[in-house]
Amino acid sequence: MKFEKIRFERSGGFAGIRLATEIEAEALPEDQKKEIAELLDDMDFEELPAKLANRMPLPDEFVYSIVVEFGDQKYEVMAGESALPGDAQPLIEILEGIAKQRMRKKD
Amino acid sequence: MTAHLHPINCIVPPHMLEKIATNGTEAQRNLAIETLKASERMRGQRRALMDFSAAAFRVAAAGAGKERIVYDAKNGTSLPGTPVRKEGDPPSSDVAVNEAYDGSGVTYDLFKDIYDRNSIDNNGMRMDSTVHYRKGYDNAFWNGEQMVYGDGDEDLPPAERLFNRFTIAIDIIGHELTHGVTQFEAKLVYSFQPGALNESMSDVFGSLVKQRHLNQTAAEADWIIGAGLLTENVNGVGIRSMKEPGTAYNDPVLGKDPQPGHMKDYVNTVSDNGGVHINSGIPNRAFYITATELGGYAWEKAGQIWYVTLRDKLGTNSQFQDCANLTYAVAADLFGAGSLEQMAVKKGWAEVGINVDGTTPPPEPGGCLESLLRIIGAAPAKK
Repeated sequence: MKFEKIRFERSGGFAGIRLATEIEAEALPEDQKKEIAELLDDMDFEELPAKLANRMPLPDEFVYSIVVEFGDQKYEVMAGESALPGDAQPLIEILEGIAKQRMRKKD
Repeated sequence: MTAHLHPINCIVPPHMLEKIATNGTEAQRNLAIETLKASERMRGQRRALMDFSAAAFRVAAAGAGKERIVYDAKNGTSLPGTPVRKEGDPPSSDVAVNEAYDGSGVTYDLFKDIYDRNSIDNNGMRMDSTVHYRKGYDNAFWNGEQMVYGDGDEDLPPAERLFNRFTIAIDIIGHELTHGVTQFEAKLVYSFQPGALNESMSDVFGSLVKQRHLNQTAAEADWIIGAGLLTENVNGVGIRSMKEPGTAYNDPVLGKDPQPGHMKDYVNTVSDNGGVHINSGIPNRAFYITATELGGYAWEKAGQIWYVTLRDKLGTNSQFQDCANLTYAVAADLFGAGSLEQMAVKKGWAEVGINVDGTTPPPEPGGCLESLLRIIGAAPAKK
């Protein structure tokens, strides 16, 4: 799945500390851009409903919001950890990793 | 009147005994409780005691007593994982295992000794904890059946770590276990104001677990949630301050503690299930003020009022205003209308901008259905 920009946010958790970043596809190394595009395909990101709430949120679990933009198209998914499909995990780890790195470098 | 209260010659009906146990002098209360116990034994009935909230007396439940198992997820996601320490086992060589074991034990003791509650479900439910959940997992949660703890940033070089392991603070363990208690009692929906109350109850009893463990009065306690969780790389004393919400940390990397301590600063957001970890600062501070106003050990009076409110009064969709009104009503039930205790509750809520007479409209008037719809995106978010 092609993308120009991904907006990632992790909120909630016991600590309630927000972790968020905007990732421009251009700024990513080619292999990482390809990997993310493949992961989005694997999980049929475009087909997911905007809010995944197949169950009540669990106390203190993380809440994820991922918005993928390509041209004038925008796909958004918001879900608690337990409501995310299992195949979303690798993508979450990559986006979380990028967000954490950037958070630590912003000073 | 007290002559009629002798356990053997009990001619006072249970509902009257309950009233006496609620409103009587200490001696009357004790006698009423003894009588209720005795008639309970004689008739083999439980009903008379089941709704008997005022003196926080409950018949010992049929389940076992303190029963714990700590599991190791070995950095995986499978729950509960491998059992590593069961009730009565000697300490492990793994510090996280021992912290989870000891912390749930101390939490059990607060609920049992002070509020006569037998574990999470008040029926001796086994307390299961899993440690070493995933890798680099900066979190702890209650999954509806058990507690789960991550190791923080153990996968990063020490200079980059922000979080220590989540079992490090005993109030985090009390916080998670209290989510279980709430699940069995008020069943507060985990979004917007009911969710923030759910969070606040976990912070209140988490903090009380710690205060009782350290034998601290309200004046001596630090009222910090998660002290020790942040590493020395972070400018902060913990995750939340019940005393001064918004002041627990202010750090170039983590940002600033976003909690409000007053209704005028209430945060409207859809993140964090509608700001449940943010706006909980408001009821947290109301509890702190109530407890400090009363002095002494916070778990005795303020804790008792909040516990009975959680157990018997709050519902799935309770708002801050409801919690204020109900704690005020419970304080009257337990200590008398116009008592110092009731006035302290009134003051606690007034100082965060909520009047117990109900004149302050809650900013989140949506019902349970509306909150749920908003969470799943079927209704517009409030600005």
